[in-house]
Amino acid sequence: MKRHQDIAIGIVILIFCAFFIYLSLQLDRGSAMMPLILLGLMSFLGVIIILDGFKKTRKATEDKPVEPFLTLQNMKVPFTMFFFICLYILMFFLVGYYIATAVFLFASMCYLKQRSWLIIVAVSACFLAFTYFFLVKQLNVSIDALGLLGTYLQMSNV
Amino acid sequence: MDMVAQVFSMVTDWGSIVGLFVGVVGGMVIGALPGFSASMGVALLIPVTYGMSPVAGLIMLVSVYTSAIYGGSITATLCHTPGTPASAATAIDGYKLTQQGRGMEAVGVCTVASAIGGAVGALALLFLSPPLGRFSLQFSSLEYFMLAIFGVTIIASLAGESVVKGLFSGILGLFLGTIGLDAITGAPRFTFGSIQLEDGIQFVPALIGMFSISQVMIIAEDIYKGRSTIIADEAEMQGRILPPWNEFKTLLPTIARSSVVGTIIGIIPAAGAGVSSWVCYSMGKKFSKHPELFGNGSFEGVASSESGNNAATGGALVPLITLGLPGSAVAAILLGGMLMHGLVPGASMFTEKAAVTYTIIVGFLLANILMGIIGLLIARYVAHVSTIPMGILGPVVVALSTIGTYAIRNNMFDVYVMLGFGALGYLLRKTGFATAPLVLGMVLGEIVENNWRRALILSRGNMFNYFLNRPISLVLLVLVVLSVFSPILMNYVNKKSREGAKS
Repeated sequence: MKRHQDIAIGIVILIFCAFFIYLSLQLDRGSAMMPLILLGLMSFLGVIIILDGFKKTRKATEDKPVEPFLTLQNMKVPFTMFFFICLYILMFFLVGYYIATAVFLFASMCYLKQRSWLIIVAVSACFLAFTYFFLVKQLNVSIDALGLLGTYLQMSNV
Repeated sequence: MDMVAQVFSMVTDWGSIVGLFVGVVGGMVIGALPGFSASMGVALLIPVTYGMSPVAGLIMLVSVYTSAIYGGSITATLCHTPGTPASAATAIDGYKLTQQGRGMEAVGVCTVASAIGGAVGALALLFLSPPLGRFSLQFSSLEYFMLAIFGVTIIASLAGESVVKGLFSGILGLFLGTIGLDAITGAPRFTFGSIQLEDGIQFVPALIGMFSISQVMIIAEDIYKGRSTIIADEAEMQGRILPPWNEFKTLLPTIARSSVVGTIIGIIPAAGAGVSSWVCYSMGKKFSKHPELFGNGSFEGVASSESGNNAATGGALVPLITLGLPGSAVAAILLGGMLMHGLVPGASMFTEKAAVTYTIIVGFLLANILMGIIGLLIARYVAHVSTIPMGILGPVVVALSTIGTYAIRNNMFDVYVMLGFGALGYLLRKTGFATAPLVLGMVLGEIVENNWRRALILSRGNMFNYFLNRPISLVLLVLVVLSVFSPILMNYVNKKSREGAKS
């Protein structure tokens, strides 16, 4: 029979706590006290989650099997989106903020099944205009200085 | 008189007025989007306020808070999809009225009831906060530690479905708050050699990741499951905006009663707008001359829940501003915003920062009035927001979150923190761990630890004696014990109110 995922989650919690308890023990007494208390409590809750997982596994029947919270299949789409966001942030350093944002908005809207080119272009243009006029010009957010292109534009302004 | 002139000059400053308008309209729009809660709206806008004055920034944030609670009622009424959990009670009668072709009138009642409820809450904030603030002058580290512990006990009530997992989230938040330089000894803790981590995990990027990025990941999942917009059917958005006067005036006693009750519930930590709306709805039914209409399209039902939930927002700000006690996730996020602007809750809010505090409170009062006026004018258009394709909303939220996070300190490390917490938030939400306790834990972590250790030093090794000689601490201890049991009591009250509402 499939085990309830709470068991695996509880084990991950215990490994996390063990690692940080080890690190806490390297600290002086005063600095370590609060983290150790909290890690102790978290370990205790981790054990309860594991026990609860076993209970749920025992309770499962053929009609009501254990339903996993996460499977590779159902994580594919959200983590592809997350991958897009990571790429977007990395692109700041390569092509600068504006191009990265335009590419990200275009690619992610296409990935999220937007088919109207006009809407994609209009939304991207409006967002970039808002960023430039409100955040960069009014609030002095220096995000446009990131990346090779940003550095070049900043230097040419000087 | 000087204070009045100062407050007037600050509240009529251009920055404050713009903050007020942007906050009210932005809050309404965010609140109208199911899944996009008031917490997310406030979290998204905190970085935007960084370049603003503390007054303008905080006015914008409190405006978003109250307007988002109201905005949630628009889609609850017209589309039976509560924009925020606080609007769930409104959906019952609001949607019935929509089905009877009186949807826009119900929205009008929601608007007026929300504005009156919010204004009553703001007046309570204005008059109850100063004496409470003066009282907090008698607090030392021990009392602040006890207060923070009181805040920690609220975690259980934010736990969601699983109390164990909710408690874990809260304690994880407290633990994450210990990362960085130890405030007493200066020793680095869990920084892995990173200079950036020595400042600790910045609270705002973490919560933007947890609320916004994780939500976009869920949106992507929903789109691939076949949903393209938040609301599938565009409801009836036509018709007059208010019921006739002779019908409307019968609602005024209900609105007045729910506003007072909602404010009191809001002041109680852990209760919040959600509980308040159900309690007021149930009370509205008990006092109504036509209880049979409740559940079948009653304007009284809509008015009682809506005035109740907006009144609770003002009530919730009372312990936040005076004692630094965030009673809900939104209040915890607002506390983060206040601290970012150099406003430390407590007695100083009514002494050296009195002008700023009163301006924010007056701004909150104006936000509720403005919300009523703007709401009556644009509610039907705001309702259309929920028909925007999610495929457009998702990427725009990511881009806004990213630049918003970067804007806080012009620092890319904050963006990485946002990203990390986005993935963590998604995994926590999917595995049944509530994220609100984690936020509360992160906010309270530093306060708990620093005050505890200061109290230990002040006690000179005899904590028990020191504790017994401070009566306020003893009272707070009793409150902590009561608070531990309050979720059980609140669940009971909520359950009874729901049952009462449905029967």
